[in-house]
Amino acid sequence: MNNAVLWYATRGAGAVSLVLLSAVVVLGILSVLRVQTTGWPRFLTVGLHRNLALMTLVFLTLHIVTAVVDPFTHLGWLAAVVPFSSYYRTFWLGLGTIAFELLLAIVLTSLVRGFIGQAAWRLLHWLTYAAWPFAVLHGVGTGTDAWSAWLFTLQAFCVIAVLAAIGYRFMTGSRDPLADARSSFQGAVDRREPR
Amino acid sequence: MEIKDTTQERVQARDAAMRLLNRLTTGAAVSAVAGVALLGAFSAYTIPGTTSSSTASTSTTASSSSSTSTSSGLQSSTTPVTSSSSSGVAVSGGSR
Amino acid sequence: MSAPQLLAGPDPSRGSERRAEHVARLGPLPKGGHALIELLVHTGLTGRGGAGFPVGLKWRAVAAASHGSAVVIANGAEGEPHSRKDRLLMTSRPHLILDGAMLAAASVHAKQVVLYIGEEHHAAMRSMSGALTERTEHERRMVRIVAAPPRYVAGDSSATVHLVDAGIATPTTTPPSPRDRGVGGAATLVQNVETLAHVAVIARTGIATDTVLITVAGGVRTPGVFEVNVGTPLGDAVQLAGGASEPVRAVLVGGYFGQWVEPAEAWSLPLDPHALRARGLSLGCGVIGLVPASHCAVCEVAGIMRYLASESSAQCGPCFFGLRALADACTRIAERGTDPGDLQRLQRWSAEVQGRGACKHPDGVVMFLQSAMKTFGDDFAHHPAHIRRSA
Repeated sequence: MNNAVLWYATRGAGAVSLVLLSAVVVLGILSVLRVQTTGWPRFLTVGLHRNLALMTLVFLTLHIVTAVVDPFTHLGWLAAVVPFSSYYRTFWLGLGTIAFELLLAIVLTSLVRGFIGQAAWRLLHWLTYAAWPFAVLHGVGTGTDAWSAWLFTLQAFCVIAVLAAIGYRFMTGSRDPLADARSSFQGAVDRREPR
Repeated sequence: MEIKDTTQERVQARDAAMRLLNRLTTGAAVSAVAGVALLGAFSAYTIPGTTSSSTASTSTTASSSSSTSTSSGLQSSTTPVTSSSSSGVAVSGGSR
Repeated sequence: MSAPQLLAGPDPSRGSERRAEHVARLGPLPKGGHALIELLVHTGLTGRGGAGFPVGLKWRAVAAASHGSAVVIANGAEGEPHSRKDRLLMTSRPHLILDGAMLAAASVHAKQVVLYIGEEHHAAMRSMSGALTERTEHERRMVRIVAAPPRYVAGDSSATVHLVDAGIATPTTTPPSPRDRGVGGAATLVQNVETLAHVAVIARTGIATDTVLITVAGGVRTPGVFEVNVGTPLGDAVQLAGGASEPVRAVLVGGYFGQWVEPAEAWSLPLDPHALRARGLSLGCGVIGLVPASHCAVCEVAGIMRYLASESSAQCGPCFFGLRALADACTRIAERGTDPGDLQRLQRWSAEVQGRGACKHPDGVVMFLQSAMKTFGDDFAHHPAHIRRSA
């Protein structure tokens, strides 16, 4: 195996994983906000969020495997699962390990949501807000490319997109469909004289 | 006893949205694979990772050798270096 | 043939009967009061709005809770889509209804009477307000007309009170029920217009009326409203409507909050509120609907479920989310074919929704659905997809 290819692959896959993860976070926020149009129903947002989350894990696995197998980095398999156990960029890579494990936990609990119950699932899903920044910081700190124009632009774009989505969420709040339906029904049967 | 029925439209709209979901997912997968190749190529131009070992923390790319496949500690540095330098020097720590 | 009592007199299709003719035919308005209440209790008259509550007992309760300032609401909203009897009464016998309302007001010591009429039922509006101009000054001052929005739940008793009181026709939680605390906090008597018409006749004759207004709808040749003697077999009422226009799959007895019955059993059912109750059925608001065999029963049920779910006032989760989920599951079975998961969901969710609503809407819907699943069990269990899946 050409080590250079592994090296490029791990960096490429890492960048792609970050983009995918950022898209997943934004879609997750959009599903909570229940945005929809006639051509884009809510289940589409949720469905895309799930599909991309699984896809993120795939590319993340590629990123981790190529990184560990690549002799250039001298990472052991242990570094992939035990945070802060690598000699290489211990702290920043450790953040990546944590991010990976959080994401794994989030995806697995989503798959068995029926068994663990809605409340437990929601609690664990909040960890997304920890996983994503850890992933970004890992990319900034570990990445040899962090200050390369291409990756810098990509990371900036991802960060802006996620921060914008979070900002939007806290400004509009999540709408309760029952409240929406209740006020629209009341509007239909309201016969008070307008003041 | 029929009430005005718009099921056909709703079913078609739902099917259209499902098809859109599948297309978007496929598109994302293809883009992601292409992205790995593309960004991998970009990364090759910035830090090739094929030059011989050097721990000089210059701002240009420099990295340890990776052309030989032996893992018997051919790397130059023996002490782990944290990424305080911004040049992205890849130095490995002690061998396993 | 039955001898009409409410619809006796000039042909109903000729329009609103004038006061003079009404009095000439039936005599002057009797006095209301305690004696009338006891007469109503004695005759066993039950309400014709759907719930079938004993009228005399209701009047007793309101009279007891009234402190001279009770309110009477004559409920002519007729939100049930296929019912036509209330409108027919309002457009042809407005004075019967007004008599009944005045008798009620006198009996429960009310100072206000509200005529609650659907805002889109223009003919009924015109007829009732026209008849009002023919009443005495005293009566005219007591009565006002309130227009009801065209929604299913707008006819619920608490919704009528809510609209009259606060201008919004959504049901409210009971207790307290309107007869204890209603319009402006006063005891309120909410009574269907057909029931009031019966009272107007009973007060004059001193004996029970023995007719009931039935709306026959669906697969019959001449659907419409028919006044039949209490106890008339359902099949006879269907014959009055010209008979079935095609072979019948099932009969819906009592409108959307009623029960499904197989034709063989349905034809001999007595149209009598008490007898039907004894068989676990209900006359409800008197709608008899025939579903032809050529129609898919599951699709009919799914369509009605969607309508009822969309008529939820969205004031409580079990109704808003539960009915929607039930309707969606029915629709899935109707469109994509039977799925054992959906059948189980229908059973499970029905049981979960029942009794948990803030008003009676979800309960009515659940009973309708449970009756449908019993009568059309095979259809639900083996329903093929009706919509071709796109590739």
